Amino acid sequence: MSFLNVIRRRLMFLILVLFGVTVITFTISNLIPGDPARMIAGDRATPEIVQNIREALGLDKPLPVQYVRYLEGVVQGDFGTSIRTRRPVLEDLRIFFPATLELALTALLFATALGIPLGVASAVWKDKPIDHFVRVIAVTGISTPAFWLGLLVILLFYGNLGWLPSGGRIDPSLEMPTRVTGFLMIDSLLAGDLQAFGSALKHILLPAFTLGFVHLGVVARQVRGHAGRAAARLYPHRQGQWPQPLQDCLHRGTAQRHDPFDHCAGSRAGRPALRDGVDRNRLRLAWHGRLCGELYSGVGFPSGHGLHRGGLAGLCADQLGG
Amino acid sequence: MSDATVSTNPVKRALSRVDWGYLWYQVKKSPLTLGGGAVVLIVLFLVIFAPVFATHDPNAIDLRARLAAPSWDNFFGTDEVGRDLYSRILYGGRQSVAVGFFVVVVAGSIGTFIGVFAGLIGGRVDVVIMRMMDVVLSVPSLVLIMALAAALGPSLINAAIAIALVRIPVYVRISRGQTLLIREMSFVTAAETFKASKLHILRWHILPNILSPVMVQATLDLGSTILLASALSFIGLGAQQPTAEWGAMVATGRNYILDQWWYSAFPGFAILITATAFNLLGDGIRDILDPKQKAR
Repeated sequence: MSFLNVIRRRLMFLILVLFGVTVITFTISNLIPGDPARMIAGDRATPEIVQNIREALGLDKPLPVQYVRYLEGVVQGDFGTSIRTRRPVLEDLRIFFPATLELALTALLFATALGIPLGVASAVWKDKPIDHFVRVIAVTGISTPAFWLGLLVILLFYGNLGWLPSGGRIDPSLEMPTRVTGFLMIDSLLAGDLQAFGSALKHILLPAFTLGFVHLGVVARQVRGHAGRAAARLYPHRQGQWPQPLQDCLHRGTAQRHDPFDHCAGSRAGRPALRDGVDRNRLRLAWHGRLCGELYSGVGFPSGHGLHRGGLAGLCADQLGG
Repeated sequence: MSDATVSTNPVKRALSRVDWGYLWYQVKKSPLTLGGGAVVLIVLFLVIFAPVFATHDPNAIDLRARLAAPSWDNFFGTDEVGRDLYSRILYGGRQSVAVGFFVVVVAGSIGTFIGVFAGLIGGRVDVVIMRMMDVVLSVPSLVLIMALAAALGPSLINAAIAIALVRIPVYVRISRGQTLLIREMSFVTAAETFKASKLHILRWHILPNILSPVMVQATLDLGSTILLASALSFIGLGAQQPTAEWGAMVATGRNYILDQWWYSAFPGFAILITATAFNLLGDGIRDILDPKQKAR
């Protein structure tokens, strides 16, 4: 009952927030200089034509009336028609969004694939060179102007080395794979076109690296924090200190080689716990499960946030840049 | 800490509570914070005394020396109308650093004021204020800043105002949370027992105690604000020609990136260095002043 109440309250709140968002969007779109009727009509249109368009779109009505009309449309899934592309905005979203999502996911893959090992390493060797290195990477990442990093990698890999293309999604001479998901890399694989896949991969490498680098450090720092806290909770007697260096554990382990913490838990740090009568297996399981949980909850936030931000920002850039 | 004279100024009181010796001891232990702080000082010094360090007038056009490569005459080369990039970067830093401090001071003071107000008044006012802040926070901040900057008209000061407006809720949240926490503390109850006025409690108990987290947030915000302001200038919503500004310089240099790499590379590098230094300093100060948030 209380659980349902919480959900109900959350949903009510969400509706309130969404309402606020529409107010902000509407206000700002009216504040931005420029007359939409004039933009649709073009520079050479007579004032009468502009006036006609204005009336047809309801732009001559007072703002509150316009807002209600806009809200009616939004509720019915009608976001209006883009002045630039002359297509419904929803249609534009459908066309552009897969590309944005593909880029965001690839960048995320890069950031997590590198960020998690780096974060775990910096938690294990806390305050050692690797930890400082990761910290520098993290701070550099959030301090790097992505627009500038993009230019530099284009200069290096396109201008100087000529290895990778500077823009676009796929080699224009290649045939676009049939659209299934909208993700070029997946669609080309589905079509069995390895050449197209290679080209799409080459085209996404530079932007994905640029975006991913900015988030890499954030992921690594979050993982470091959560791994450290998990260790502190599991081994309070060690006061947050980690077991012996990782190599030690790796060399001795056979069955658990894939999971160094697991093995560390059993081999060294687990011993005092065993003496305390805690079942070793249970400890190991708890450790494993909790680490995964911690890592998951830790990574979930920034990457989801990044995805959200990257996605919307990319979308906006698409719209602005045409 | 002489306890004979206790200042009535809450900022002074808060500062007098800081154990500077301990702070310095902590900073010394962390080489990255020290390095960041040193670079921040160097950048501030270079930027404030830009006229002394500049070798050329930042806006002097010399069409014979267009797009010259870096040399002893022009350390970082020249741009498409022959202006010296090194001097322009020094002067451009003034814009970036000024925007950073402007945003932090404006957003920090307005946000803290609203947050303390909401926390002290409580009730329906508090709910309304916080819901409004949630709405602002739920819109992707970059999009909101871009829209606001476009609505205000492209200029650096408008970009700064847009960033400050969008950053306000962050400070409101922090200061309101702290206010609620401190309001329940026993020394506030004690003061209330002696019929201390709300104003007295605000001045003597709440303000001095919320300043530290607000300052931490402000230091952390400096780096990201500098980055954001230059990004806005890059997309044309910030500083306009012929003002020397880092983001705008990278944007113009984009047209020459393959042949005249120095045009974009040096201003962007300046952004990177400055933002990194401020972030390292902010990170370090957060770890010292706010150990609860420290990633262990």
